Amino acid sequence: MTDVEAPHDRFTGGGLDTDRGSNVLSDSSYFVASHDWPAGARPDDPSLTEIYEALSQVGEFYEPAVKGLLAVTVGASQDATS
Amino acid sequence: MPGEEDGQRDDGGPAAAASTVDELDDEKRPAPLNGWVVVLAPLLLAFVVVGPLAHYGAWPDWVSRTIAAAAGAALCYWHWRVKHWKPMLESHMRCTSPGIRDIEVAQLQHEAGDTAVDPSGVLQVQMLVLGVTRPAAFRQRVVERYDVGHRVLRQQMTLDVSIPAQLNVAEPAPDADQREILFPLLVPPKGQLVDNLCVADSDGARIPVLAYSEYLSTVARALRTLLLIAYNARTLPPEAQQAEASALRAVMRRDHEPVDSSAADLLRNLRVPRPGVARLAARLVEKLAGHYAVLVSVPYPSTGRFVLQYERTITPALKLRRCEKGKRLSWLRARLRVLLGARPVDISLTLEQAWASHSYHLLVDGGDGIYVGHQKAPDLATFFDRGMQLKNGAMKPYYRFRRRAGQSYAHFYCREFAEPAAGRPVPVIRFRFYEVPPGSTLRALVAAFSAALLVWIIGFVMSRQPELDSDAPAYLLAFPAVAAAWLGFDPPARRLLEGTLAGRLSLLCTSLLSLGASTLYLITKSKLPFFDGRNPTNLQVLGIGSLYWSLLTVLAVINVSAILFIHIVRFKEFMYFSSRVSDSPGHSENS
Repeated sequence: MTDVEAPHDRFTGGGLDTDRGSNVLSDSSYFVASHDWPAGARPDDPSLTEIYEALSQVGEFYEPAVKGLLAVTVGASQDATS
Repeated sequence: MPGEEDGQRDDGGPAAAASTVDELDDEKRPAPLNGWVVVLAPLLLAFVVVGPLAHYGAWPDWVSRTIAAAAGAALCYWHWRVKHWKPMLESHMRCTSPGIRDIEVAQLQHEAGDTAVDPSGVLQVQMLVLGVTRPAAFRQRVVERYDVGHRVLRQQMTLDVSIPAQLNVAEPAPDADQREILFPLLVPPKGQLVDNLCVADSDGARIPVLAYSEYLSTVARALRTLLLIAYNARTLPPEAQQAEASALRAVMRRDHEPVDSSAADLLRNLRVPRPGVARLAARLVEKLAGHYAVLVSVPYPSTGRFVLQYERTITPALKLRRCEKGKRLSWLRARLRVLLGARPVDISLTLEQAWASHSYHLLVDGGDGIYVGHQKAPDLATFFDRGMQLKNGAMKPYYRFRRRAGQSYAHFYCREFAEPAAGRPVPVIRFRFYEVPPGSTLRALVAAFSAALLVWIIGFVMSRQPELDSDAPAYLLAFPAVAAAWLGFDPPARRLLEGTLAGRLSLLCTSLLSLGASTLYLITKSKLPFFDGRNPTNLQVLGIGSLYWSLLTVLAVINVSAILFIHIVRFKEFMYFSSRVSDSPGHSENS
């Protein structure tokens, strides 16, 4: 596949060769939504820097995490639906 | 992969019960219609059409026949409603799956802890968390390609992945080749099947996809690790354990809707020394409460870069214009497309992969004999204005289309799209494809012209010599109808996008006009007292004085003119796109 990009940049301006003037709404259309990724950014989302900082400590806490999970008991008394 | 058959993946094991099912209980099938209904319909039909030859229409009279026809139509409608329509509506049932028991959560946690502690596990947790919450951190370049089939689209994805240096995995490891990383390939909604999924590396070798239970174990390990980091402790306090169990229950939940956000809120509200990490855990749970991640096992890349490809089948939804004021012609046209087998020419796609990568290409190939007529991104300007914020230190977002040059594929490119804000829709882009001329319109034009010429010639002759003693005109007039019917029956349509409505409508008109002219000729020749009027005030239409031959000729000329106009418009548009001067430097005319 050959990438065809503009030789000059157009920040947020939209690409060349769109139908700015015409109305392409039609009587019928196929609609494709793969829903591959759940989108929805929130203002309080951690920044990428914060995420990297947290992930850099995974190596330190991974072992106690695994051991703690292994220590979870599977008892009959917990057989309740929440 | 386990939990998957014939390349179809669901949200795993018992979760299959959560998805909507499309089957019908035998008990709910309507009882067969009574025999008297089946007998009554033909009797009503016979009452309408049968009568004495000499006085047809006198007995039974036309009022009785009309009432019988209306009763027959009502009976057929009722039969259709009860026998076909209602069972079809009832065949789609949404099932509610049972809740997740505490013991299932505990079992998952225990099984998640039953694993070797090695660097691979650390990397897997990092990849899962970062890959689900910030997919663009890995995906440098994504190429999404759609090839159209008869009713489905084949989606082909190529991902150029780079593991960020911040994850500290770029350093050479002695056993690097033995290690594997888990990469979140896609995160579809729970209950949604991914049809015919096939994952491969850059060489085309199959890549294994993790089972649902393995995915859940990885999530459990990631969640526990994040909570320990948030608390900066090696064990969790009871309130954190409860929040963790609620979060896992939300992740294990099988229903897509309603999404349970309370578990994520519990994590977000924990009083921890590192609230940012708790928010990260909440974000992870929030994403996985309504969706599930498809994880693939990729050999550890010593360079930190690798390429993944996957294919799947997607069935697009067909949207027809609703009947609204001022849009009734569009409403009718949409139904005619379905009725006559002419497919829609528009396809709209949501840019769901755009924000999940740095650089994104979307290609839609309409197939042979199709070219891109229109392309538009109506939502992008609003999206930029309202919903987007620049990524940290990133370049400004940018997008453009491949110029239309009569090619069969459309190409959209963008980069540095930010994740759409919560509650905001993902932008949609729309393409419209047309037939490359000469296509169905030329065939329709030839047939329409033949019919118009024959109708005019025979009408002209019949106006002057009604006593024409030959059967040849009847055969000649029927010929365009046969030709139109033959031309209209193409081989089975191969394409999803096939805008041949104008051609098919014209062929239909040609058939009707030819049959009408042939019938009129036979009636006139038989000297029956029907359709023998003359034009008012001795008007002539192209030399024809007979009223009904004039009408047929006018309709045939309109048919030719309309399809000729459409053919010229399509031809000129295609020629314009194919031969216009390129606006890119370094390209000459017709490049």
